Amino acid sequence: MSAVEQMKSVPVNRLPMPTYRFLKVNEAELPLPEGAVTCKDPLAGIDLPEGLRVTAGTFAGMEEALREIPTGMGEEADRIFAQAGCPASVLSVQAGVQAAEPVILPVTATVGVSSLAAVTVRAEEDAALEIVIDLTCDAAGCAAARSFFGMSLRILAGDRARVKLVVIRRFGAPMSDLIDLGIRCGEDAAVEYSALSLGVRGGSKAGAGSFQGVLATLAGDRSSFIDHTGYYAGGHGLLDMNIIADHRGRDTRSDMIFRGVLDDHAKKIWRGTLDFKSGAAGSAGNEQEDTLMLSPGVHNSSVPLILCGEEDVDGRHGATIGQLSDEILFYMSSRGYTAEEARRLIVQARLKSVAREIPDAKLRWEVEQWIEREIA
Amino acid sequence: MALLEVNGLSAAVDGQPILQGIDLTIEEGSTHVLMGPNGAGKSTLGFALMGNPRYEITGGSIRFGGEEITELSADKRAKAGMFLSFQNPVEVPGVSLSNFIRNAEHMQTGQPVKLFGFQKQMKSAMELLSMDETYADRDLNVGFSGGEKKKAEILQMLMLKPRLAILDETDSGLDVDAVRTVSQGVRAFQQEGHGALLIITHSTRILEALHVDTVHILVKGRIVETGDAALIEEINARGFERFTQEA
Repeated sequence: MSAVEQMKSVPVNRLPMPTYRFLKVNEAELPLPEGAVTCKDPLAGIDLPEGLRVTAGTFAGMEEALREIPTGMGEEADRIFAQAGCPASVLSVQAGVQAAEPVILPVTATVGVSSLAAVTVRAEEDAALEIVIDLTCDAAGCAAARSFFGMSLRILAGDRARVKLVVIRRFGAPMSDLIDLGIRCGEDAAVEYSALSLGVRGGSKAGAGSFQGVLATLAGDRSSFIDHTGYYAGGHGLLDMNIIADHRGRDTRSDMIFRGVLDDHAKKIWRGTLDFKSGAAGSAGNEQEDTLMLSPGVHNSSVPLILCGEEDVDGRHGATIGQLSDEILFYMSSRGYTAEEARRLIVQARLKSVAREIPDAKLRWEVEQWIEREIA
Repeated sequence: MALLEVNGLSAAVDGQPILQGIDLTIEEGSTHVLMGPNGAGKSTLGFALMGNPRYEITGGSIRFGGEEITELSADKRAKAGMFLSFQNPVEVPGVSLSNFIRNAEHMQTGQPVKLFGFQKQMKSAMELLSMDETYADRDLNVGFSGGEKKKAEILQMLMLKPRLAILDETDSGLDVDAVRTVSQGVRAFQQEGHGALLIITHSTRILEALHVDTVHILVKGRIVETGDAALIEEINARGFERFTQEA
């Protein structure tokens, strides 16, 4: 066990271009775990398909090419993992290898214990890999005390590599957690990311909640990034997101769809940035938000940002944010649905549309069952 | 036997009276047509019969299958066997067309819907309506063209097999081919003997290939004439002028 430097919180999820301070969206304050921290290594001792290998290492000693991949939450998040002395094993896919099976990494947070885990993926030229990270808490943890959990992820996709990453967050208890992802794509590389954040319930403690950051650096020409995120936040849960597509190569593509539900007194801050750097000519990016607000007590802040350092680019943003309309409710009731059944179907369908991205049938079924059981 | 009995029904929207003393009886398995000029209150009658809470019933009663339903919510009317095909079907993001119908079937019957049989029936109904099978997995009505939305309504009618289907301007905004296709679906519903129909329309295109038992003319919130299918031809030839003048 290690202790993280005795600070109460650190700034994370910085907006690439700050806006008015009074809006309080330029960054988030991540509450740090108090006391000892346990490090987990999700890659330790796992069975791997042919052509894949794991190289043990530490977060602090990470090789430069990986360490230099910026993440959505920023350097402060990295410091937490480095100070805690966590391992950061590297999962590598050899050039030209198309992994036959998805790699499933179950990670369990433990009751009353602060824990951190880091995974780094390196897909060499022409390689292909699907990886699923299933974050849960143990039975006692789901029913009892507040815990802290942190996950750091990095993906280095070589030229023409294909990587699909699915992260399922299904903590049933009020947790404070961070999920921080950095991606770097070579020429013609494609990374697809699906995130399913379930059960963000938080509590009355100010600042607790789920903090998530993604930064995809589309460095290589014609590289692409897809983000398909689904979330449900209820209770007094806080969901703070910072998603950035950093277009650097020519003819790069990003397509980001965020579909979620806010209930009770949940609060969500979403920052979505399409950053077209000089040299990204011919690139296109799209970010779409669809937020269903089920209660007048919820708070939603959306900060779409399109930065253009290049003329020949196409950046789009669209948002649908609102309550379940009387029109939809009557339409569904005319087919036999009660208002409660209509609401449940719509909420669960949004989350299941992201669950469909899970490449493993058994886990997909489990997650769908979890949604039906826990999110009614 | 009377399936639907409407007696002296009056309804208002936002305090504005629209329907005034409607009397209407529809027998099991029969096809009724409700025609009238724009603004006559045709859609209001459809919504009032289906129980849209926006439409206030200010007088009269509705009985369905021998039961008083005037105060029942729309979901209970649907469970009793009523169906409304919307003039402007709403989009339901996140819920696929097939999932929506399968769940609706479960809601209405209370019985589990077996997947294999459901898919087979769905495929056959989509073929009849010339619908691309991929629509089954698409979010309900999201990004559908006007024609596909109307087909999706008729698809739901064929799958849910109501005792009474109210079709509100199903032919509006459709081209000739789409009207023909939708009409095929309605004819299949008639031929399979699932239930009765109340077809609300202000044109006669959708009726060309259908057997019609009774025609009602609605003007200014009142039924001003009831007759057989010959009324359709009269309206085709001379429009609603005679009825609007009399009203």
